[in-house]
Amino acid sequence: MTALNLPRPVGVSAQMWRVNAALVPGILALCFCFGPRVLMHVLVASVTAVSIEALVMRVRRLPQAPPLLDGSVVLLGLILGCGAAPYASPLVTISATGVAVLVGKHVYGGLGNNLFNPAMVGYAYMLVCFPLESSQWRPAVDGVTGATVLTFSKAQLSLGYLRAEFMQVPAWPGLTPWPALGFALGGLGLVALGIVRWRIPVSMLLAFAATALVFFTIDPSTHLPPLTHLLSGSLVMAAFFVATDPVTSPVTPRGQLLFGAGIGVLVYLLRVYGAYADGVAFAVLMMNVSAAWLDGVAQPYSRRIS
Amino acid sequence: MSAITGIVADFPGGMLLPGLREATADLPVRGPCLPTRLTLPLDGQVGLEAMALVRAGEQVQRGQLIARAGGYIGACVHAPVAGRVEGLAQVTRPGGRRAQAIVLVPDADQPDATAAPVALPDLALSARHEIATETLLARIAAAGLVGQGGAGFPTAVKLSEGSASAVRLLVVNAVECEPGLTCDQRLIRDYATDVVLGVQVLAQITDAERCVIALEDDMLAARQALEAALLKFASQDAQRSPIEVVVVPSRYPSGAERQLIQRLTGVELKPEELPIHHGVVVQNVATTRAVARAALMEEPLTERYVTVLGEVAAPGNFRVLNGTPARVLLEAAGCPDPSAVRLRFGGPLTGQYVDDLDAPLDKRTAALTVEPRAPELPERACIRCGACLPVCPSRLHPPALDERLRNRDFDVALDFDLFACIECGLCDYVCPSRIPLVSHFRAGKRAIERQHRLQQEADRYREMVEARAGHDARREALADARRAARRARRSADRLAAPGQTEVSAVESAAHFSAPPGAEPGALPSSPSEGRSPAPGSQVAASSAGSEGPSAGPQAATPEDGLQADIAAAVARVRARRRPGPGRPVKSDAEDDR
Repeated sequence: MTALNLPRPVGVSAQMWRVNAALVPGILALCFCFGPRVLMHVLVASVTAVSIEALVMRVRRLPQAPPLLDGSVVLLGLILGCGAAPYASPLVTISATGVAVLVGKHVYGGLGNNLFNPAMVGYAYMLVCFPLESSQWRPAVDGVTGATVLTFSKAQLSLGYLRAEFMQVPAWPGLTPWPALGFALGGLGLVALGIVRWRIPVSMLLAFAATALVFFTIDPSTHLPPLTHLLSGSLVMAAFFVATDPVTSPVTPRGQLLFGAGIGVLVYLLRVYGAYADGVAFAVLMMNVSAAWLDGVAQPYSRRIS
Repeated sequence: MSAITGIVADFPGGMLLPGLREATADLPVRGPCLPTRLTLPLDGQVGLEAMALVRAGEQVQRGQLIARAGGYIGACVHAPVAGRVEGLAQVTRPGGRRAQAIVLVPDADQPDATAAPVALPDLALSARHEIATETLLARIAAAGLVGQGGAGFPTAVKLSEGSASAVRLLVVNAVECEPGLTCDQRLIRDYATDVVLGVQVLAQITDAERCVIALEDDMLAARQALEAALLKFASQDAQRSPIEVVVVPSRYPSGAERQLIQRLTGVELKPEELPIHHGVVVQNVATTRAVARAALMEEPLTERYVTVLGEVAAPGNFRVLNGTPARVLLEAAGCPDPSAVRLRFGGPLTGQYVDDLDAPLDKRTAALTVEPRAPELPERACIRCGACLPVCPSRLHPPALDERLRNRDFDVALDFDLFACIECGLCDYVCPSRIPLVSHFRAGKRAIERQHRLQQEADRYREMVEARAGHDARREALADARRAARRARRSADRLAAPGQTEVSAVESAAHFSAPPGAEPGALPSSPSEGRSPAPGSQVAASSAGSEGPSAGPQAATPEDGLQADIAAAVARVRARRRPGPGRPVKSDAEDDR
């Protein structure tokens, strides 16, 4: 008999597998919108991540079983796979995954010790080193790179067109809200299960929406509407699955609010003023650096903190 | 009585852990089981080891004193049953320590050992007023009472301190130490009269302005029993302020001393403060009952109620004689395979693992938690999820503390208030990486205390060495000054203008003697140093002065001597203020939960 039914909160690996499961609706929505090559990248990235992790654990002479089974490596692969442009070469994804696992994680000592979100390290590498490859979200038609709402509008704005004009042209890719909604569904599930705390996604999305609204109100002719911004790019996925990575985000509640808000504002500013169409990776990496400092600033628990 | 009165604040953190008490709360108490051997440990959680008063082979009576308290902070040990002393043995204590214990083989024929103690007669109350407070205290000390909430601090010592200070509030803590424990409410249901009498004795000793019995909101039957007993005494004891029953919401660790005080008074004790600093005395309810029996009946403390919970066929509360091996209790509660379980002395959250089935239960073991020996999840790296922050009742930052302790940054760990940790075990419990944080904190506290002690010893030793070095330096300075004086005399003999040269020579000698005194590092701290100012300069002055009676040297000498004197005094003070142990290290001995 088990009289001692003191239910302990689930362990790290159970949590990670639940996060992985929560990514499924978003991945399916991506496939629906961008074709089955999404799945290919997701698989390639996950398999690569697990293989490299196994190799590293062997080289570092660490026990293989728990880290491989704990799902955090698979999670890294899934997130990178979702971020990869579907029509990019799988070799790009493989190399980005290698960078993510090696530089993003093991250089710092492995799970729990990394300063940056490993998936975002890999993603940033992919964007910086393979800018052309990582913009191929649709099959190239007539030699023109397949575009998303964000890349298309960025290109048009840089050419001096106004929003009202370029949204009318036939090449306008049209809004694809399903991936964002799919990731939101999974993310809300995690919040409901208590695996992901609500503060980071909520503050991030709110801060982003508020910034977008301000810019849109000031100059609607050159800025996309807030809702279009919210449902485009990898913002929602990052809000629920990337920024909430406990290792690289603050532990204190107020720190988490500031962290999320910082990412939200940065993503918008990078989308508008940055060289890339989307700025999630860079925004997350920048706020990762500030996480420890935010914890110190927002420390409500310890009475004396240095 | 209104449900929630007397609660003025809440404590931070904590966790609701319901549903663990139903299995045992309403079962009648079983036992005691008479083991073939009792091993009565001589050590307490705090204080000095008791001194055995019996020899091997000696026959002892039930309740006979068999070991005397080892000092002011210590407790006596009595024989729980009649039997023959077999000798001394080493036993395992919670936390893995080994300690001396008296081995007692109970007599085969025990007419009354298993009979439940009868509740105190009501007339004990009328007798109470005739007993002087000193007598009450002496009886409590003689009965070997210790805090039964887990800390095991000698009750008489705590009460003497309480008796000597102004006590605003006396709290009898009937809030169970941990979820899953029901021994306190069971005791109230069985011995409500004893408890009320105990409160009255405590009230007399501490002369408290206000007396409160704190119960939990799920202890309905215990509350009814207690209120019935209080009613019975209300008419007889009208001159005192009535004993209040305060019901606190059940949220772990509401039974912890500091958290209970915070609820009742709104004061959050600082880690270095004790309840008595705020005029509060807290006594566990089982201790309170023992106080009544010790003070009014001179009955020694030899048994207690213990909740057995976990992987046993029949969990419940047991009367357990002091020194009963865990194995006996395990068998009584129905554990078919003791090798398949792990024992914790204490509840499921704070209980300490004991891997020896023969380890004895003592006066402060409130529970025996039987856990399956199933493989736990492996310990993983901290992923900084922060789950431990909102549950900490001391508002600590467990991962930050753990990291500092791993790096042995003890100073920073103290800044993070390591000693505010009450070891409630909630951070362990919620940690998804299964990091044993509390045991790290416990080890950290021990390490800091050890370092503190070593530092004190090192300081003493250094003072000794420095005193010695100062002595040597003074002797050298003396010799140097003599040499300088001799040289000065010789040059004075040779030169035509003796006065001028002599001044400079003597001055140089005086200055030469000063440096050892002015250097803070190699500073003498012997008392003689202060009295004989700059011996070198004095000698130099006298030897030079005896030669040439010029005004120069005589004027210079007292001034230089004074300067050296001041330098030496300053350095002595500095040496005394040497980077001692940074902060006072608090002993958590009195956390009576």
